[in-house]
Amino acid sequence: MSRRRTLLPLLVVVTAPVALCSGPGAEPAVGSGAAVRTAAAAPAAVARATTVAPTPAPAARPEAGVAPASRREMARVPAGSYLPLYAAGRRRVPVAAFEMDRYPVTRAEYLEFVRRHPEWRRSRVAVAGYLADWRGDLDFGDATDARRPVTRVPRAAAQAFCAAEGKRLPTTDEWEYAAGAGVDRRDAASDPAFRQRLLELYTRPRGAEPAPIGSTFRNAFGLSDLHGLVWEWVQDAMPADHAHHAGGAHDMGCAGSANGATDPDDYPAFLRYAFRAALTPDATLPNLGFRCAR
Amino acid sequence: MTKLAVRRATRFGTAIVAAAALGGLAFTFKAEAGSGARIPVRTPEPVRGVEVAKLTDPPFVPPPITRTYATKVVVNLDVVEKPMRLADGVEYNMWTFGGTVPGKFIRVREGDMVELHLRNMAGNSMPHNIDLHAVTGPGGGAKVTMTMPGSETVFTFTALNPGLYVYHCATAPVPVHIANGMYGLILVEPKGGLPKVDREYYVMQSEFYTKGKHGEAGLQPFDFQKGVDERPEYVVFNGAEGALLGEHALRAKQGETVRLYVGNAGPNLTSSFHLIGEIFDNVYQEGGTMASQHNVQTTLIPAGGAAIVEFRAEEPGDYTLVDHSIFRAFNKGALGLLKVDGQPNLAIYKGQAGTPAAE
Repeated sequence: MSRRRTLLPLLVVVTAPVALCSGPGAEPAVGSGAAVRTAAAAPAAVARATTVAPTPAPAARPEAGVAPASRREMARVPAGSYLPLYAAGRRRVPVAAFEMDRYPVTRAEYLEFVRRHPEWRRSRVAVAGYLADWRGDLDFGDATDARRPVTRVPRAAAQAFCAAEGKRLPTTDEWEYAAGAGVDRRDAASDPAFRQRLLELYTRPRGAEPAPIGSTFRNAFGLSDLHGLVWEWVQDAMPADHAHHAGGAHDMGCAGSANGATDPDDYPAFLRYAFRAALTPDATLPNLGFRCAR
Repeated sequence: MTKLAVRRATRFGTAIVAAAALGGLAFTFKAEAGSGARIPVRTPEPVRGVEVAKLTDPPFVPPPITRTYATKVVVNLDVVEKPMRLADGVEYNMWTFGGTVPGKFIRVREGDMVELHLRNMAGNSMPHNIDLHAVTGPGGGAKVTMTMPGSETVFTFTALNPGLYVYHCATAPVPVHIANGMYGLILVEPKGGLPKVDREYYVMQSEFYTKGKHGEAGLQPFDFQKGVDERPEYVVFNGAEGALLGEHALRAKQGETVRLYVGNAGPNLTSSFHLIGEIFDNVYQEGGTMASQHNVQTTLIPAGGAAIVEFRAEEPGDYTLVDHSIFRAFNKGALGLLKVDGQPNLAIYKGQAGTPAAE
């Protein structure tokens, strides 16, 4: 056996870029012996979840004299700005005024949606885990579940729901801006006490089912349950969609994620960004719901 | 490469060759197709067969490996988030590798190809991954193992370097994942194994940063400011106060040789690991493969590091494991116990009235 010695360690010192976990843009599956399997679905289902265009909103069909949208209150969020976890030059990102659902979409509301849109019933959607906790296409379970947020829905389904109400999913900018509000003030994102509260909400033990809506707190914009009830879909959750939102080139899977962060103390934001960075459009997680915006 | 860099390469290269020779390392050259350059890499030995690793909960360690060849080892590790006891009356929502803190002990052999299946249980809240310090490759596996609840990720690496290594979750924010319990040890046995001993145990020190003060009852959340300030309320062995006390004490018989695989998860503190009343005959400092020091009273174990200590239990009685940064032992929980059964040997230990230590 050849026992030739080498200069490898030095070559690394001389030529390697500053890499924290791995170089930016490194492909995880190449040359590393890695394979990634998710709980999701057949390729066809993935394709559907990522490419289905939002269903056009039908004309409101009143039921018992009330259109679905009108039962779901929205709050107006005035224009403002926020500091993303990653932002070149630490520049705040402006956010235009928008409206946002006060609460995450509930199972009862989602049931109404699939009644009107049979193509989104469980048996018609080939995404693994879709509404897996429901008893049937039109049965979400006990009446006590009605006010729990609907979960186990892929992003395309959430988009379709919102579109059916003439709305859309919030952007990450909108969601993060809205979620920076505390109970009493609109920009609490850098307040240590607020951050600690969010950390506690995020890391408390998870029940088998999410609690009913309204069980956390209402913020200064009038929005409830943004933190600690369920994670929520946004339009542009994935790194490919929007670099700075999901961490982008920042590797959310290593201590290097602190590099380039606007505030390494913002642990709640790291938890959110890491969650979004790990999301795939077809994720049907029991703790992932959504609300709509317009 | 510049001329300067070449000169430096030559000079540094000499030092590295010497270091490599001392360490007994051998590199082979492998020609890179087309470039003409020669890239030195270690070529793993061929693997034969497949086995599923038997993992153990702390303080136990899987039996030594008797295989004389490399194999493919399947390691199944489940991430479980659940409230667990931190101290009497105190619970903490632990994030775990395998349902225990520290996580399952993994034992493989140098040269083994490890196929690690990381399953993030469906009831969990967070994505998780794993960085094993035994891995040669970016992120130690972290980059390719980010796993959502309800999913499984498979990652393969060859255990090129023997030694005792920490593994931990590396998902952002890493300090929270470590502070919440996501760490454990993996032993890569050198070819030929470690010297035979009578008993082996797995001990891992770590800190907990609870919102409530030490001893405050109830389910305690993580406190960010205490973490940043490096002011833990708890410093414990094996995930909880008393995890190695009372009926959970480590046991040995007089005359037996004992080896402790000791890890330190941190996340912040360096451990001054000490066993009251015993002297370590051998210390494999920092978890390396050489018994690098003998007759050691206290050995430093860095956060994210490990050590192997060996001793012969010669006198019966109770021996207390501590972090000899002693307030941690007295006030924060860094206490464990080794009970040695046997006959007092008055020739080496007796009190004023001739009282032996054991009774």
